[in-house]
Amino acid sequence: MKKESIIILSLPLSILFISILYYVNLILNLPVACTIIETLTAFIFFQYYFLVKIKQESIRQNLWLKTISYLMIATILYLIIDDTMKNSVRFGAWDAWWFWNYRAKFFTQNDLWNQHNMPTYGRNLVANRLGHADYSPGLSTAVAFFWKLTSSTNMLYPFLIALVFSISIPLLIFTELYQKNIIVASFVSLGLLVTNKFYIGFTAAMLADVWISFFLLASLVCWNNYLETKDKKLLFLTGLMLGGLIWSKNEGLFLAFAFIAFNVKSFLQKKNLLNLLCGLGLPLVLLIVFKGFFAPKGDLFFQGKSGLKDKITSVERYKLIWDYFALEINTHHLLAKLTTLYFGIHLVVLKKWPFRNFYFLLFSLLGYLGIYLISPHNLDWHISTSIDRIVWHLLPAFIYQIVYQLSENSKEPQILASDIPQF
Amino acid sequence: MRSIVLLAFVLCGILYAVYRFTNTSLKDEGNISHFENGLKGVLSHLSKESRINFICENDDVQKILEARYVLFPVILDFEKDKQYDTSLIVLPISDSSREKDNVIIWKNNDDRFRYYLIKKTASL
Repeated sequence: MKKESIIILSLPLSILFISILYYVNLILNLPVACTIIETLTAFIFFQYYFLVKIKQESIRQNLWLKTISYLMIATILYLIIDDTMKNSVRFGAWDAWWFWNYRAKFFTQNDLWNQHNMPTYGRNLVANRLGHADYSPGLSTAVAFFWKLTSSTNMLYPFLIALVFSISIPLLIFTELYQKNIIVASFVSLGLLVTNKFYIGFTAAMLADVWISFFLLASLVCWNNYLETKDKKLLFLTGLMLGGLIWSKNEGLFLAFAFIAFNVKSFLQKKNLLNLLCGLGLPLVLLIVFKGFFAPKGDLFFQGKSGLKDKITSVERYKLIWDYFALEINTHHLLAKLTTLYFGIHLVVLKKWPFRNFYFLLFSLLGYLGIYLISPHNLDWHISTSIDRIVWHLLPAFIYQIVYQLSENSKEPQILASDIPQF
Repeated sequence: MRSIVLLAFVLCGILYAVYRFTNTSLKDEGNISHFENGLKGVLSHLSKESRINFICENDDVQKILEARYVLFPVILDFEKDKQYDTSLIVLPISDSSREKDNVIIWKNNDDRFRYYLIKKTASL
């Protein structure tokens, strides 16, 4: 894995460490200073483990490539920040303040958490009719840490968190691809993401959806690097990214388990599983604690079975979902659609099959659209208010996976037969 | 590409964003900022565990959410069928009908709204 990619990964990972460790300390009723010490320790360990000890590619770069790369990175950063600032408002989008940041206020209150312990959380949120109080606490606990640390509710912190995740997405794609093909890397990061007004809008909105996009992309990047190098540390890193995915939002749970299911053969080996669990374990356990003891039940999976059959067999629902999806792609992501079409033609002409993780992403998309099918809410309202987000969750990963396969131009890296246990 | 240069680029970008956000977006005067100023004094009359009724024109959902956000951790309800001993009322500046029949604990005005904290159940 490239050193530059590790650097990019370490920025959002630091925020993930803060979010998880702050939550642990809140449950244990420890002071906020503990989170600082623990996060610094985790960060130093991460830098040492991955920057010093990991196998890094040492490719001699010429001056031209270096110069263009620096220019590209400066351009990516400038465009994101400049356009984001033009769209930015103090409190972000509606969901950012009334949902994520309102929850963050709860997470700053030790007494609200510890009076009769956590059920207070669920009771208060439900009492205030706060949407999705069952969602993973990721973004809210990260914001709460900074608010608690500074004894304020300054909106600069949620904004900075969103910005760090947003700039990390195109930068990670760029650092991963630029040595293979700088033109393609620039096209993807600039053409498909940074100059897309829709992408910039998400940064300014300060929502947790950008966490999902990043961690999904990062999981694939780490996994593809693992397949290329067979370095077990990258499995740990993949686990950590999947942990970030489940810690971000409920959708992340679905994506993480779909990812593991699609690559289950590779995880059968004891050491592989152990490495994966080392990364994924803590967020998973904490999420189980959160969902099991504190959060109210989610509306989607506790709606009862009545009417489910009618929903699944309703042709109108399928048509409505497809219409909204097509409208979303054609309105905001035409270049991405053309790239996917090119990829399809490329595969047909060369008589190749997509890599395994392309099917995983396709399955995830179908899974997302399938959730609409059984939605307990008014379908028209539900899709129109969320289709943009679910497309955004998957888009950077889709684009990366397509370009990764195009740039590899060879067969998919495989787990060696000797890696898989014989039963 | 040198990692240290990459990191320096990113850090410079973040510092630039901090500068711009602090000098522009943080100074926005949106609805929540307006409520923050208008409701500033009411928290001293309410405890952390308070649960009160919220009344506004047309039962505007956005207003109640904004008020909840600003008044955290006080719980605001807007269920008309429930009885509350205390209500927070936000009305347009042109409407002064609440001044008469209620025991007013706290009140405030700004250029858009009249804010009242009253001591009995009220409805619009």
